[in-house]
Amino acid sequence: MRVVVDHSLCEGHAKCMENAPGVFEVRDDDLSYVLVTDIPEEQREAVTRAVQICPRRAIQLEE
Amino acid sequence: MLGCRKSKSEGKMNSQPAPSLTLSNLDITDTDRYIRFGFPWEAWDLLRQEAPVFWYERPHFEPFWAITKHEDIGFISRSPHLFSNTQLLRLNDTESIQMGQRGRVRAANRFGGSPEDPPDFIFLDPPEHRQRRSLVSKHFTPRMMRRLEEHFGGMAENYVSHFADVLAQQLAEKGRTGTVDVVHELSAKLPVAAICEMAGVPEEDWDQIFHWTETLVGAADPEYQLPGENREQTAIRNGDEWRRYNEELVARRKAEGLGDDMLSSLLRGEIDGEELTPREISAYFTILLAAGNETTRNSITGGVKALLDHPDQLKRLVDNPELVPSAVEEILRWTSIVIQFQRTAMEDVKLRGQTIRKGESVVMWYPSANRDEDVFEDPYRFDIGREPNDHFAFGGFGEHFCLGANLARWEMRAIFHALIPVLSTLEVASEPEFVPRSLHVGGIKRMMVRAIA
Repeated sequence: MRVVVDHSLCEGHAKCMENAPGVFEVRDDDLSYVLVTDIPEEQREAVTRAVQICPRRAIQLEE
Repeated sequence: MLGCRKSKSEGKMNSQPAPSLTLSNLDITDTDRYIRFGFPWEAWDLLRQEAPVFWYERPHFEPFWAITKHEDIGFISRSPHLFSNTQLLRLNDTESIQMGQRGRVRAANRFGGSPEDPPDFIFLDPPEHRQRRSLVSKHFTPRMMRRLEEHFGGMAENYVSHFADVLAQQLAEKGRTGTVDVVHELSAKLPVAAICEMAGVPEEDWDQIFHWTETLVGAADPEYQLPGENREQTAIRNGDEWRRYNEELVARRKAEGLGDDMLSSLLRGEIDGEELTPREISAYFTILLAAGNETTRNSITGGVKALLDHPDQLKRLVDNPELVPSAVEEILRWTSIVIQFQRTAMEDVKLRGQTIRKGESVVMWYPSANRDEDVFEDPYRFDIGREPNDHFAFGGFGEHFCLGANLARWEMRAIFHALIPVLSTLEVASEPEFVPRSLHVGGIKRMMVRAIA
């Protein structure tokens, strides 16, 4: 499972980083970056939740 | 009212006049009913259960699809390619729509351009919307809020201490007959101060700004009209005064040099190499200041009411102040201050077996989404520890998610944190009074409380 953040939508609300800190990192440019190329099994639930709660719906999952 | 109910059953006892509510007699658009009975929770419940995508036809309104389920509002909100903002943005009665159209003609005559031009950037879809929104979005990030935390936190404490002083004074002078208006002595202050400071409005003008934004929403209320004025005349006068002030401020900022405030960001901003037009700047600035103070003000007032109506939850908060952030989320869900936004279908869309035809309008009823039993367990229970709490108080997520959500959350946390010691000494003296003819925001004009030392 891969995850991508649409930087034309992301505004750095950082809900993803709160929810899955090992996977997302919001940097000083107020954009969220994905830290891992393949989401580990134990993080999947947290990442799925991050997708749901992103206020801008900027995160996409790709199987 | 406005979600400030102790329970659904209790709300039912004294709220809806009609003994048996049906799809053909329910009404969710009559603002007089909102004022008399509060939000039409029972009608929304019925719609969610029996007709969540409902073709709503009533006098004084163009027909629309009433969307009441959380999931559907989420889908529409994240599908701006299917549901456009460019036609109609907020549900209005036909008289208000005609007033709005005359306003567009006046704006075109004054600034140039056409009455068809979008009144402000919320009336845009991506990619144009994204370009304009991003001009100021950096002012509202959690990172920016952390930088302002200490400064605004001190302001919140000062405003709460002012409120406590006024209460104590009333109690000392008048005893139980001494009452204080939560709206003007507490709720209004931090939202106006914070947004004005961020926007670059000098402190001596804050009271005036508050009056203009109050009148913008309350023009139908004789309380905001000058003698002899009707609603439209009040709106025009208010708009003219505001525009003149805005133009002076722009001229002053340009003369003095741009700073790091939002007005400077707008003046510096370019879209495809072009500066914003004076009309765009004026409209953008209006949106920031009006949206930035009115919604949060009403949410704070509604939150005070909700906590006073639920002594068990208030005690829980007093005993566990670390619950302030989740209490704020529950207050946002419970009060659901923004009632609706509207979209127009760009193509035929199937939703729950109904076909929404291209060109038809959909109206998303956020308070209904915030009581959706498929999303919230026991939705009519006010629970300051509710988790998860995926409410739509800031809209249904996506392209148009409330730009000021982080600021609003932060302000409410600061205020309710500072209020904890005061709340236990309060009681509601009279029910909230609502702004008339307001189908967009559940505006509270006044709510009297008293100290019970």
